[in-house]
Amino acid sequence: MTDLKEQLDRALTVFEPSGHALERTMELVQSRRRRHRVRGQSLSALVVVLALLAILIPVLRHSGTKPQPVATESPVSGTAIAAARHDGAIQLLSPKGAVLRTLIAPGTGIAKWGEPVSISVSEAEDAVYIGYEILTSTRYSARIERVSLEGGSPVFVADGVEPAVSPDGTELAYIQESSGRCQALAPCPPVDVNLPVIVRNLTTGSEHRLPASHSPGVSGLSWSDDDVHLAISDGNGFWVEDTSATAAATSEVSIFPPANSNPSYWSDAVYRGSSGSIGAVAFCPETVSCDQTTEVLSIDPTTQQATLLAHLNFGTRSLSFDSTGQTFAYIGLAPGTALPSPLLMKSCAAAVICIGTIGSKHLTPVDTLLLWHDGTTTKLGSGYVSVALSGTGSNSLTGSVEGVFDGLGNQATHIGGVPSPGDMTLTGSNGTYHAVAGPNGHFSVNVPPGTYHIVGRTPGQSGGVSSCMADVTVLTEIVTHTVVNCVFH
Amino acid sequence: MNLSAVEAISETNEGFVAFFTTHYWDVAKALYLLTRDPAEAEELAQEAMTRVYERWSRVRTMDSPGGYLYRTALNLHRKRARRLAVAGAIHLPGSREGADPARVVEDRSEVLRLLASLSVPQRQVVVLVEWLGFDSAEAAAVLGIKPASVRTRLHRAKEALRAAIGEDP
Repeated sequence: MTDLKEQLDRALTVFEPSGHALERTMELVQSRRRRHRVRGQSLSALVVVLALLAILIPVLRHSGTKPQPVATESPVSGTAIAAARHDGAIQLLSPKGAVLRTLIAPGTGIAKWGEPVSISVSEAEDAVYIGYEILTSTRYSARIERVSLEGGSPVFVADGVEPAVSPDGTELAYIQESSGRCQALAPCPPVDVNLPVIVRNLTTGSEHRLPASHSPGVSGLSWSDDDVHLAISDGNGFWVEDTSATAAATSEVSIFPPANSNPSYWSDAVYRGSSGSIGAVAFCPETVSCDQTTEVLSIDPTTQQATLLAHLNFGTRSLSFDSTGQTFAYIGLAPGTALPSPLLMKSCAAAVICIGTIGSKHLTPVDTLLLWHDGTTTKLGSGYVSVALSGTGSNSLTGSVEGVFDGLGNQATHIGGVPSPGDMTLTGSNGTYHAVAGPNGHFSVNVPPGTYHIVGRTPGQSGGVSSCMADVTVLTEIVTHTVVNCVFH
Repeated sequence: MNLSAVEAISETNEGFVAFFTTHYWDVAKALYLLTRDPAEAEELAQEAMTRVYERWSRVRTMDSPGGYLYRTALNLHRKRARRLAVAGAIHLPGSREGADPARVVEDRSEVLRLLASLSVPQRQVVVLVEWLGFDSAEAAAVLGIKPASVRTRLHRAKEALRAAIGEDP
């Protein structure tokens, strides 16, 4: 055995490396870059949550009447789902899959030329940021636009994709991309080794570039619940950066994958709301044999340890968690879909990933929008390329309060007896929620099960009110009716 | 792709070409010893180099960029039957099965045949320590295990090799 190295050296004499290894490696870099681009288009577009729904819908319902005050705090209750379709439409959906509102109609505006690949909602601004990839046979560009939830035309924000608004609404992170003309016999968009991740202060407009954002495959950004850390994915894995300016020199916190798992492939990593952990889809993970399933893992950024959250069908992507981190929406294959073996995964349309048998023309699009909670998956619809979820979980996991606010006093009885507009605040062990009572006094809000103390206030009201309160107990999937009366001094 | 394209890409990745030149053939040879397949060895080596390149701004500042390369390469080797091909096609286990003409040639090498009889972890330790000359601490860093585990694996690997060739311990 002493001459083992010699024997190994002798064995290596038959190994004659081919030439152009560096060139081949660079071609591989380009190939991966192109793949990331396609994956970015298809996986992307996250999206959002409109906590504002609970407040906006009443406001819209009563449009034309006296404008109602909008709560400055997040009025989120239940879950809002924003999703991008491959026809360019941006929709807000109910947890049952019903289209509540079409924010952008199919094939209009920029979507005539490009794919809406990423979305983020700014609750503070009542606006949605949308990232578009535009690729024609001759030109490429990327563009982020902002559209108000209250209507109006989208406005240009930046050249880039993957907008991600911080939970407090003060900062916008995005991947900066330039525009240009496609060159003959070259990848388009061209390979760019540096796709900067930019953080823009939405108040001052100032921008700074994250120092460690030097991956050609950067494809996803996700803010932590504390508005400080950004999870950045590049297809190989992901890492967390501290976005605060003071941490510029040592911004990189860690590099994943986690210590106890080393899967072959990751989806984009996303923060799991207030849980502080990070969720990601792992393909062919070490913890199981590489069969036709994937795992959704939850990674603790501190310990870098991964735990299994769910087994899902192969092809799962575009994860988005609710604010508790317990429920997630994703794009994938509907449960029970038969998968071929061996698998071929490719892009069968601009932004749609398909699965089929190698060599086969029969491909199954992976474009079903699904909602997962506690092991149960609900199908919401097909034709989607990405989704974003926020709020406190599926509405099926919440109850509703529907009530009437008798906010104006009856001079004779000194008891509020006239239905009137107002702001309603529900405080309970699961948090504080808001609703708007319309001119007819009606209000409606979805909240997690629990007991709530409701306080109502009419617009501009000051002093003189000793009550306008009610207590309710909310049960899962049950609508609780109540009346909030006021007693005047 | 011509060389100017390589230079252009590498312009903003100072030092990568030198790193590539220094390490590529050694990592390719190590992978050949592990796989006995020239094409696969180079494919894995190029894949590993690609990953290093994509993270070069971080890898270059590491204490041991070469260690990162070997760790990446050996991880790829360990998972090669399961990994996703980078070109977009996903082949599940079994799709790489079949006669490989290169293996016929490789099997002429007795030492490689013996090496192939070892488990993948044992094989990796042998290549790292015996051929590349890593000490147990360096090999441990590459493999993500303890130095004592490296020594144990190496000991058992050598025992297995001795048994296979009929040597006395």
